[in-house]
Amino acid sequence: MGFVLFLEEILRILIDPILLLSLVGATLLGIVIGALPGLTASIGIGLAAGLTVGMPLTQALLILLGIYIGAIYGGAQSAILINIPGTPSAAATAVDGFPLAKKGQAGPTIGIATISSSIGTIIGLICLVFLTPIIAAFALEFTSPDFFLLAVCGIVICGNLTSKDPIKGWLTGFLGMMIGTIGMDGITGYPRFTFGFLELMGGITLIPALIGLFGVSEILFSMKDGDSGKAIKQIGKVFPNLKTVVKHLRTSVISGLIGTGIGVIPGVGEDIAAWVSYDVAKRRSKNPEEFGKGNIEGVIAAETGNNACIGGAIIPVLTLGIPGSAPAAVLMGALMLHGIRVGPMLIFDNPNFLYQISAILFLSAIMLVIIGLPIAKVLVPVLSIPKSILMPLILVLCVIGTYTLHMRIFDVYLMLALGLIGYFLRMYGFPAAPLCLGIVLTHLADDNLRRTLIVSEGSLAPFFTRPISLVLLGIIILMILSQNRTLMDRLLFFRKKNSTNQVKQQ
Amino acid sequence: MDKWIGVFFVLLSIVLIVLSQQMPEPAHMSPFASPGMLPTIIASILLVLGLVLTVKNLPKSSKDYKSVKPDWPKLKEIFSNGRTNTNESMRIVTAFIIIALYVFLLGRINYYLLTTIFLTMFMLAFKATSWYKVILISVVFSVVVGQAFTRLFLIPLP
Repeated sequence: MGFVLFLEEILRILIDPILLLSLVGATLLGIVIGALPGLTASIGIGLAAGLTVGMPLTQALLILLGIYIGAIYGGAQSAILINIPGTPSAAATAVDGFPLAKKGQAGPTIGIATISSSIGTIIGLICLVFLTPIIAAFALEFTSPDFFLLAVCGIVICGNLTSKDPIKGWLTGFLGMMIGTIGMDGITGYPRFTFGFLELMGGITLIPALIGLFGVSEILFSMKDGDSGKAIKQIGKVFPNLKTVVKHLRTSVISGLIGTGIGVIPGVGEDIAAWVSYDVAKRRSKNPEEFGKGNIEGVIAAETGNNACIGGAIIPVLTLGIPGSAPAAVLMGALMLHGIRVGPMLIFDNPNFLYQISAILFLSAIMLVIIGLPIAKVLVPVLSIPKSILMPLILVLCVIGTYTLHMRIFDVYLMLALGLIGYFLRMYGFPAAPLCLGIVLTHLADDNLRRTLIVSEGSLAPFFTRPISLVLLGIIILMILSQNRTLMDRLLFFRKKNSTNQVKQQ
Repeated sequence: MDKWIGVFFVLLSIVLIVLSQQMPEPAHMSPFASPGMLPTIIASILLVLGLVLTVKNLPKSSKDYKSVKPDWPKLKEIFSNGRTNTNESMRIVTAFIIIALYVFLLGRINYYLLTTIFLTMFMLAFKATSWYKVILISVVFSVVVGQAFTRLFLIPLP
């Protein structure tokens, strides 16, 4: 039944010229956005969000998801051709992609990266189709204390995984939550931290905040040094060697599953998915010493991993209303603009929605190959544009894109302020992803915390007596304790001691 | 620097706790519906994390104290040779000032004129290319984006 609905959606898109054109245009735009250093998937989706408000839902989804998938893949093109990842998720691709390009294999490497991205998207899509109903059914068991702890757990995990120093990750995550509390309180109507600004009554609007955090900060950061890298001009034949694809299919599947798994974790995102997939491929390889010097397996792992993360990152959006990555957070904001209530009830209220998204992901994955391969040669001159020309043009798009969301200049001021905050955070090694997740999760945490306490009349027992809450609490405590080296060493020592004793007893 | 960022977070969280505590309890509702509840909890977490960041980055021994003392001769040498990140900082400050001016004047000056001036100023400040190319790019981009938004997407510009 599900497969029929999936095929129906594919056919519906293919026979409608406007939808098909939107898909082609969005994927192409996404690839260009991803390839241009300074423009990321989050900015691309954010800019498109305002423009798609008046469109029918299917067309809007086609554009938003097409840009998302195109941009995550597009980063690989600049990573391979100029050694500058167009998006952070392509950083791992550059490690082996650029050395391969320098050896005169830019074309085939881009070809392999394209096929890998497509395979990754499809693996993510398969997991999305099978896992979403299971997780959504499980999410229906969640009650208020579980949702509150889930929000805190999201911040703690995201902070832990996105920063070298988890304290910094947690600080930005909870700072994001603090920013999220700005505005009129939904329960009592009290204006929190608005300081008399009427514009703040509605709260911090998600998309301008994200465009500022990821777009403006990136523009400022890019202006630190002047020159762009020189693009490799001779790229040769782009069509990939299918034997290489088949030879490394196992790596692709493993990376795809890792990428999807990381995508499901709140706020972690495509860049971590690519690095973890790359690292696992390196550990599994018979020739790990070749990684970093131009091993195609590294490109395959990174590109499959980051694109597979997309499907994974959408799963918690559809089931829990929590984004799996920064672009997924913007996508969630855009879905809300279209009046879609994300969360456990979504696929029960609108069962077609999952198949609609799956069909779009599938078609976008195919479109990546159709557009991605021939565009590589066209992109070479575009990638050579100096940053001092590109960045102000991107800024104009960010400003206009932010303004178009609610036609408010105040949103543009907000974007600039958060851009400056994002710049300083990045400068001192504080990750932006937990901040973004914090802003998104505030309402979930706030409403559910107070609801729990109102019902329990102030008792904290519900947080410690429900099985789901206990598991979440356990994860939070474990994540925090894992930072205490001495304690962990002691625990490990105990474990070692115990196992030694057991061996001795045997 | 992390030590001072930690101190900043400690001070910020104290201010936030005070502000959250000043939020009134709802009159005809449960006291647990108070709007200041979550902000107080988050600010308290920020306070603890700020303290941990500060303490973690404090010098641990007298030897470390010596190592954090500024090496004045070296600093003098760096400044006199211009090997600091002054150039980088100047680029950032310049970029931010031009961007802030653009954002501030948005809606007060005609979009096409303002965007053309902004793009021209930005590119000239960073010596992107020759002045006539800069003006050409600025004018064409402003017009194309403006027309695309107003005619194609039917969205009024600021």
